[in-house]
Amino acid sequence: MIFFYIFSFILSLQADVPNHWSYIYEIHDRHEFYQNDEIIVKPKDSWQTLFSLTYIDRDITAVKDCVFFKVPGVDSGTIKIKTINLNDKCDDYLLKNGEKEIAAIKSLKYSIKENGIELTFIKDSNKKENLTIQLNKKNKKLQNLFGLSSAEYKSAKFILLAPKTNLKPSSRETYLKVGSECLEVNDDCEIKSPSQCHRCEKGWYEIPNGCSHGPKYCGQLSCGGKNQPACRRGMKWQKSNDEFDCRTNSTFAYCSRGLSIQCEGRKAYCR
Amino acid sequence: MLRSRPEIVSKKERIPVIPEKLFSQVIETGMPAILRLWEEGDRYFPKGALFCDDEIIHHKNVGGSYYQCNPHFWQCFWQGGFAKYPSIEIEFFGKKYHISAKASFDPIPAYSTQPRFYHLYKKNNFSLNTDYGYVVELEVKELPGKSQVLLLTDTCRDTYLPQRSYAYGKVADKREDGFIWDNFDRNIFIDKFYVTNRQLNEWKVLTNRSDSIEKDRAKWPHPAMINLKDQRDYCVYYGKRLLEAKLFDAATMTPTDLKETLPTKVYRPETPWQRDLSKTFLGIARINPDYQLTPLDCQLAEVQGCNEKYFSTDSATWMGVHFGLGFYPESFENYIEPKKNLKMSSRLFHPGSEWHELGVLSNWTEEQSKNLPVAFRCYEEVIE
Repeated sequence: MIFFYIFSFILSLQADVPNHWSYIYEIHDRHEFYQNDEIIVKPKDSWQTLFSLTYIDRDITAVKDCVFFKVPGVDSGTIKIKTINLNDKCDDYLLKNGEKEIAAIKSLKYSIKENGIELTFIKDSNKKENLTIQLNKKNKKLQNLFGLSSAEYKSAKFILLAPKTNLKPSSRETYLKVGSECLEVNDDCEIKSPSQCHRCEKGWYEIPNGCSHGPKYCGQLSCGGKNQPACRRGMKWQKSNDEFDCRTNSTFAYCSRGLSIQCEGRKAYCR
Repeated sequence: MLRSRPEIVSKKERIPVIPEKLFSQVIETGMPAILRLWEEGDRYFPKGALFCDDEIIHHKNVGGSYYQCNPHFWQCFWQGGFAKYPSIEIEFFGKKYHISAKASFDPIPAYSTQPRFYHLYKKNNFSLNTDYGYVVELEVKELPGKSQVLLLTDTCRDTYLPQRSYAYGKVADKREDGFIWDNFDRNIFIDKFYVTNRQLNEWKVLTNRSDSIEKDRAKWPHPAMINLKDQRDYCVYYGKRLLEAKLFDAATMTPTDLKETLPTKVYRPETPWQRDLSKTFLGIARINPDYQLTPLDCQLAEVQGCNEKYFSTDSATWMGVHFGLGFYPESFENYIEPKKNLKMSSRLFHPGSEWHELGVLSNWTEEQSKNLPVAFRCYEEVIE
C-alpha cells in the first residue's frame, strides 16, 4: 500500500484544465454531503454533481461549467464537464453528454477552498492527476467602504471575459413582474430567501416594517405620499433598544408632512 | 519509518513557456497600468494639442476628473489622439512588452465613423451584478495573435455614504433636533458630480435615440438639463434613483465627529466646509454686497460673478461628493417635504443670497427653462 502511494506520488501530473477555467470567479452547486478531501466512494455507479464553476463569456452572459462525477462501482469512474447557463440547474444535465470527459478513474477527492478548488484523481493505470482551479475574483469582504464606488462594491474594477460559449439565454432568465416581492421578510424579521431584487427590471422599493431589512418589491413606487408605503427612517437614530413594531413604535418610518402612519400588519403606510 | 523527501522547488519563478500562459500573465501584470489609464485619464492628458475632435473638445474650464472612467478619453488615447503609436509598456521577467487596445467594435455613428476601442455594455440579463460598463479588447505587440476581452466598470462615478445618523433640512431653533434619520444596514452610493451631457448621450445611444444626442462636444462635460421625468428615467435605467434631499444633506453636512456614528446631537452645518456661514465669504457677502470674490471662493462654491468651471474638485464634501453649494440648481426627490425639491444655491445668485445655505430648498415645476437650468444626479442603494 505504501508502495502504491509513493508510486502514485512520483507519477502525479497536472491534468489539462479547459482554457476558460482561468476566468472562473465563483463556485456554485457544491455537493451537499461530500467533505473536503473525502475520497468519493458512494453511491456507487451513480452520477453526482460535485460543484459548478461560474464565469462570464464575451457576450457578457454568466455561464457555469457543471462538474459531474460518476462514482466508481462495477464500472470505473468518469468526470464530466458540461457548460450551461448560470440560472439553469446542473442536476437537469446530469445524464446528458458533457463537453469534456475524463474516464477510467479509480478514485477521486476534491477540496474547495477560499481561492479555488484542488481536485485529485487516480486513474485505472495508477496515474495520479491534479486539477487546480484558481478563482479569478478573491472573495474579499471589504472592511472600509469609505470612498468606495458602487461598481467596485458590487463586482470588481474589471472583469475578464472568457471566449464565447454561444449558449442561448436561459428560459429561467426572466424579469420579475412589477409589484412582485423580491425580498421576503417575515414578521419575525427573518429573510426567507436570498434577494431576487437583481431580477427587477426597473428597480425595487421597500415597505418599512421595523426590521433591519424590510420586504422589497419590484418597480418604482414613491414613498411617504397618501396611500403609499411609508419611507424608511432607520432604527438606530432613536438610540433605543426598543423593538420597532408598527403598532407600538413607528418611528422607523415617516410620511410626508401632514400625513400619518397607519399599519397593515407590520408594514407602515401613509394615510 | 519513511521520511518524505524534501521538495525540490526552484525559488526563482520562470517565464511561462506556454504562449497562452505568457500572454495572460503579461496582461495580468499590465492591468494596474491599464486601470490607471482608465481611472486616472487626467494624468495622461497631454499638455499640447489633442487630435480627436470627434471625441474631446477640451476647454481649460473642464477639470481633470471629467477624463476619469471616460470612454471618449479611452477612444481618443487609443486612436492616436495623444501619441501616434499609443501603448502601455510593461516589464515582465526583464523583457519589455507593449499592451494596446484593439479597435474591435462597430462605430457609433452618432459620435464618429471610426471603429470603436470600446463597446457600451448595459445589463440586459440579471446574471451579472454590474449594471453597465465598457467592453474593451487588449493585445500585446510582442505576442501576436492573442487578445483578451474584458469589462471595465465605472469606478469613478459615485461614492459611499457612511452608515450613521443624519439630519435633514433646517430647524427654526438650533436647540431643536428636527428631522433625524439613519442609514444603518443600507449601502448607499451617491454620484460625485452632476449627470453630464456625455452620460446622457450614452443613455440615448443605448436606447436608440442617437438622433437627439448633444452634438456640441464642448458641451459634453456640462450638466445635462432634462425634465424631472427624464431625470428619474435616466437614473432608473442605470439601476439608480434620482437623489433625495435628505441624502444630499447627509452628503454635504460634515459630521462633528466622524468616529461617533450615533452622536447625542446631530448638528446641521450651514456650509460643507464650515459650520457657521457667517464666517465664510457667503456670510461676509450678505453683510457687504460689494464683496469681491476670490478664486478660492469660486472653487468652494461657484456663485454669481465666478468664472464657469466644470468638474472642479475643490468643492468636495466630507464624503466625496461635489457642488454642495453654488454651481447649478439641482433637483431632488423629497419625500419629507415634497415641494422642497430644488437646491437653488447656484451660479445664478449673488454670493450674498440667502439661497446659499445647506438645507435651504425651493420648489421646481419639473420643466427646464432658460432662466432656471436644473442639474441632477443619481444615487444607488445596493442590497448585499
